[in-house]
Amino acid sequence: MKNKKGSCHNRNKKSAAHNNPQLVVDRFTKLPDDLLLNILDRVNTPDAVRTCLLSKRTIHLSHMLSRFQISVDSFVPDCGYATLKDTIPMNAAVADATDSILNFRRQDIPLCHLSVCFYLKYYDCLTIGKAVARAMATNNLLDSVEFIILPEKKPEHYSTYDLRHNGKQLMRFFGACTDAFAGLTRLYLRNLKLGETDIPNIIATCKLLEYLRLSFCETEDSVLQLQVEHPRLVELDIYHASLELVELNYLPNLKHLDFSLWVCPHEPLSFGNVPLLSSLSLTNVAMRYQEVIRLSHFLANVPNISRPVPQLRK
Amino acid sequence: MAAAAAEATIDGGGKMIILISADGKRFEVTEAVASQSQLISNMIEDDCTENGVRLPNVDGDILTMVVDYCNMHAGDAAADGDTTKASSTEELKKFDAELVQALENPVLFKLILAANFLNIKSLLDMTCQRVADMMSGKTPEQMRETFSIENDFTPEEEAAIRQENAWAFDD
Repeated sequence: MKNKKGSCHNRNKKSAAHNNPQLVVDRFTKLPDDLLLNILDRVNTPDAVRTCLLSKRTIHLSHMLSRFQISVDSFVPDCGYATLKDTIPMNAAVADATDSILNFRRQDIPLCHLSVCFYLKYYDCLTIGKAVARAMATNNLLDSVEFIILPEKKPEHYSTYDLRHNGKQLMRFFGACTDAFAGLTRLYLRNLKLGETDIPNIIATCKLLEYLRLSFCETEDSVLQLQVEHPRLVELDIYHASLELVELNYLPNLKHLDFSLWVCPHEPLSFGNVPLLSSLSLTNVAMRYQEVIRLSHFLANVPNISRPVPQLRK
Repeated sequence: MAAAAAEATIDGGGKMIILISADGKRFEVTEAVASQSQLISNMIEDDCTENGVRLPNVDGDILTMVVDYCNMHAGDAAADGDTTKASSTEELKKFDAELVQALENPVLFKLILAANFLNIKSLLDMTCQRVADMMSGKTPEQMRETFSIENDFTPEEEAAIRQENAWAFDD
């Protein structure tokens, strides 16, 4: 796998740099801890930890990082792409790393950012969810906590059965780790078919959420409307929801709304209490059966969008 | 910075101060330029720059780069609100990109230490980011080569590290 070559296989085969005495001076590990951490906190966590593990001088720094950012992308095989089979070890590596790094980090050092991007595989999710919930309870100052939950397969390969299976997996994970979800500030969900009350449930539980993206998150066909109420949400991004109407009832902090691809013949949104909404993007492929949206009428309740600028594309 | 620059303009170019590097090289700069360093800015406030500022941690060649950087960026601060700002921002970006691209071990690390000692946040950010960019996506072995990091573990210690951090290794 990428980045995972052993660190001492070439112990006896000195590299070119080591043959040239002028280059041997190691200035990196001679930097003071605060500068090394300044640098290490700028790369993703797997790269940062692998660097720390290179020398006795830096090994303790792996427990002192103040950002935790990990994604399955860091474990893509050397060929540069991942097959469905590869997603198993990739996701397991994310789960193991999350568990081990969060468990052993020094709790007196504030953890300000935590982001985990992983596939929806139940037992890995459970490891990640438990580790993140523990980190939330024991570390101070978490400004942002993010889950990016990916489907295992490419979206075009999904049947309704798969989507429903994904939805069930997500809700099983959600039920087992509600404490982790309750502390999230950002959440990305994709390719799910969810039960009637699932989305409202998630929105109500994730009380700290500031950003939510639902991409191809369908609800069962019987559900035609979604009511959204959330005291903190700032940005909402809904892509292909297959709903007739999304009612934004009470979103006092919502500033940005991105709504794309709807299928109903009429206006897909209704605006309740959204006093701060100032950026709205609507994107659709217009069907013949869909009525013309009258923006002035449609946006009458949104005080901060006085002059909408439609961008029409064929 | 902007305030200091404005003051300097009122003074008619601003008071000059002398910076003295570890190897005795002297650099004459305006207070506005020098005060981008929080360290020197504090010294100016405390009125202790009369006889020149000795910087025993910074070599002349590194201080040349720091002074160039500060001269370039003080111009930007002074042009605040000016119509020429757009082009100068553009120039500045180009200057920064060229400076940072040219930096390699060991000058890069010397410049980081200087930016840290002098407390120039923007220069410190830029140079630390350069090292981070050099690290990203490298295998541990490539990292060792890039930064000449010696392996100081015994085989037993190394085996233990691999076991504890199995996710990080391709075994």
